[in-house]
Formats: sequence, structure tokens, C-alpha cells
Amino acid sequence: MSARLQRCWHLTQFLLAQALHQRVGWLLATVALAVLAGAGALRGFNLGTEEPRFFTQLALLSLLLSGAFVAAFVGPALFCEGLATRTIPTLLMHGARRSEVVIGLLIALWTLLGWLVLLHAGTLAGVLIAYGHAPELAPALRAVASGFGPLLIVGAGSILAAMLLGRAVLSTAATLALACAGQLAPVIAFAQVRSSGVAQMGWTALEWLVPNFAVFETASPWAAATYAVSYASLYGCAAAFFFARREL
Amino acid sequence: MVAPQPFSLRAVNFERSTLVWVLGLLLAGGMALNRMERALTSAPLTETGDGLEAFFAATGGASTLAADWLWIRTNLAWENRDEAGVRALLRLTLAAAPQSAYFRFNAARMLAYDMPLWRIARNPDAPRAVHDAWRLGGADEAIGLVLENAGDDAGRWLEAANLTLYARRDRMAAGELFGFTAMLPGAPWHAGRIHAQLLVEQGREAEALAWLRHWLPRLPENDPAAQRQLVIGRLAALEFELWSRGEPL
Repeated sequence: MSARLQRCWHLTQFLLAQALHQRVGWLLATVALAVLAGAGALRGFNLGTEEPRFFTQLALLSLLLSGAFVAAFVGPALFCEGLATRTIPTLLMHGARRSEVVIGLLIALWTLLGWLVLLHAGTLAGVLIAYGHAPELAPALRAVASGFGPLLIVGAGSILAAMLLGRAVLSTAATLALACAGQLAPVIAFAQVRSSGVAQMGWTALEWLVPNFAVFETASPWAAATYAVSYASLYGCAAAFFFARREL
Repeated sequence: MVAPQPFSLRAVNFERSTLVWVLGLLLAGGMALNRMERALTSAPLTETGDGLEAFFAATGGASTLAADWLWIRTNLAWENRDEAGVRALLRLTLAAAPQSAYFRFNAARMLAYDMPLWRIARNPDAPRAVHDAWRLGGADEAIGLVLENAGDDAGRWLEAANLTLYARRDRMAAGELFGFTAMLPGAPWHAGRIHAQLLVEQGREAEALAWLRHWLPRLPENDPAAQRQLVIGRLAALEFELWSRGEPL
């Protein structure tokens, strides 16, 4: 068991290094600068007592957008490049299990997304303190932390898409579609209620396959975390199951 | 020479049964999580309500971001004194965030205070009656906006009272609104004091005295914002004034 954990740890470290090799650091820095510039621009408007909420929403928007793009591009790229450069097949030949590769990919991507959340939280904290909104810090940071839930699911979805579709471009498109569908889940639920027959079955299936990101606005932090981990685990298990049975 | 492979969407080789198993796993897990989701989210979309509001409700959390973006656009239109643009953007903003008191109150203030002034500035030679009609029209529109589905929201009624006092300049109606607001749950204490003050300004001291006597028991002793001692002082002053005029107490 410990040997397996150690292999997973080494795999994660290796995959994270590969992700960083794709210039993710530059992307993170650009995003932080964009949040700072956006906050500076917002400062020009007279937003009164709502200013900290606007800053928080800006940081959350930036986090969700940049997180969806990081997940959509880095996740499939890690897997597809790993196959193209024969890295993953070599790892498998040297004793790594396929499930360990999937776990390594997931943890590497989630770590990146976690850094993104921390970066946004830090930038927002700096902006709020600099502009004299320190008392609003705690709720603002809670709001930004809630953005990690959708990213956890989208990250797992990107790995699943990479396993299923095999091509980086298609997997990226599918991941971005999942991120949009998660935001538009109320529309899917509405269409499911309104339709009938085969169409209703189709909408129902889609409703089950796609998470509802509205949960992260209404549910308590623990319930939202449980929901995010459950959906991400479901996608991760499906990815591991599929990868164990497909050709390389 | 190796012939190029034809493009195919299927880049991965797997048995069909594997895909069926994966889909089954995802659907079974999704079904279980869907039950959890329904318990955690608010009521699903319905066909009722304004079309714009339904559209924004469908976008979930994105509606808050859309409202913020629209509010910034409104600010830009407001700086350019573009009345039509501001009106359109205000409607969109409120449809995106109908529960936001900040957007609603500031939208009402733009309608009540700014837009009549813009029109007057554009037409300074128009008759005074026309200027007054613009001011009253703007105030009425703003009060209507604030009281839309207000229920017993004390904040909204207080804003309507303020608009009636400062934009409509109708002290009698404003006094009634402040009095009504003061009796609502969660109303700020100053609403009751302003109601009494407006009654005094209209020469209705006896009514102001009756109001303060009726209202005083509601004021907590340990809340400085209630200013109970100030109210007791005003009550005493009114009693003295009415007594000195020989009016019944």
C-alpha cells in the first residue's frame, strides 16, 4: 500500500512539473495582474458600500474563467502529451498502474487549481486591505473559496474527457462545454420538466451527468464540499475505469 | 512512404461494452447526486415571472456577475447623461438581480433626482410647471420601482418615504410613509422620530404627541440608536407647548 502511495506521490510530482513546464506560472501571474487591474478600474466608479462585493465578484469571475481554461487546456494536454511523448506508456511499463496515472493526473490538476484559488484569495485580500475594506475580508475569502468546488468538478471532467475522447482539442472543447453546462444547469432542469417522451429521458440523463453549480451559492460550505468531492470522484472513477480498459 | 491516416473523431480504441459501463456508472452516480442537488438548491425555474428575470434566473450564479457588469455599464451611461441608455440598463440590472436593495435604491435615486435635472438642464427655458411635472413624474416612477413587491420590507418603505420627502417634496405623504415604516418589523428607529417631526412641521402637534405616546413603549432602553431619552424629551416639550396653548393633553 505504501509503495502504491509513494508511486502516486512521485507521479503527481512528475505531472505537476510537466504542467508547470507548459508555462502555467505565466498564466497564473497574468490572471493575478488582471484582477489587480480590474479592481483598479472598478475603483473609478462610485460603488459605495458595494465596492467590496464588486471586488469579490471580479475575483470570483476571474477564478472561474481562468480555472475552467486551466482545467480545459492543462488536463487534456498532460494526458495527450504524456501519450505522444511516450511518457505515460513508459511509466506503465515500469510498474505504475493505470489507476495511479489517473490519480496522479487528477491530483496534479487539482493542485494547480488550488494554487489558482490561493492566488485569487491572496490578490483579493491585498486589494481589499489596500482599499480600506479589511472588515469585509472573511466573507470575501469564503466566496472565493467556494469557487474551488466547480473547479474540482471541471478538473475531473477534463481528465475524463481526455480519457474518452483521446484528442486534446476535443477534450478541451468538452471540458469548456461542461463548465458552461454546469452554470446553465437550471435550464437543463427546466427543459427536463417541460419536455416529454424520449426528449424528457434525454434531458433527465443530461441533468444527471452535468453538475449544478448553483449548489455552491445556496448550500452550506460542508454540503457544497461534499457535493463537489462526490461529483469529482464520480468523474475520476469513470476516468480510471475507462483508462483501465482502453488501448493506449 | 506511409499514407496519412484518415481523420476520425474516434481516436481511442475500446470495446463498446466499456463505454456502456462508463455511461451506466456516470448515470447511476449522477442520479444519486441529483437527489442531493435538489435538496441543496433553491426552487427550480418556473414559467411564471418576467421574461427577463426568468432568463437571468436560468443563468444561475452568472446572473450576479451579469448584474454587476450591467451596473457598471449603467454608471458609464449615467456619466454621459444618456437617459434612454440608463433606463434600459437599469431594467436589465434589476432583472438580473431583483433582490439587490443597492441596485434598486440607486436606480430609484437616478430616476427621481438625476433624470429630471438632466431634462431641466437640457431645457432650461421650459415653463416651471413643466419642470415640476418632470420632477413629480421621476419621483413617482422611482417610488413605484422601490415599492414593487415590497411587502413589509422596512428598507424599501423607508426609501419610498425619503423619495416622497426629498424628490416629490410632499411632506404630508412622506410623514404618513415614515409612520407606516416605523411600525414595520426591523424598521430603523429614526423613521418614527421623522414621522413625529413632520407632523409638528404641519402644525399637527396633538397628533405628534399621540404618536410619540403610542410609539415610546416600543423603544428599547438599551439600544442607543433608539434614542429613547431624546424621544422622551420631545414628548415633554410637546406636552408643555400644548399645555401652554391651553390645548387638551
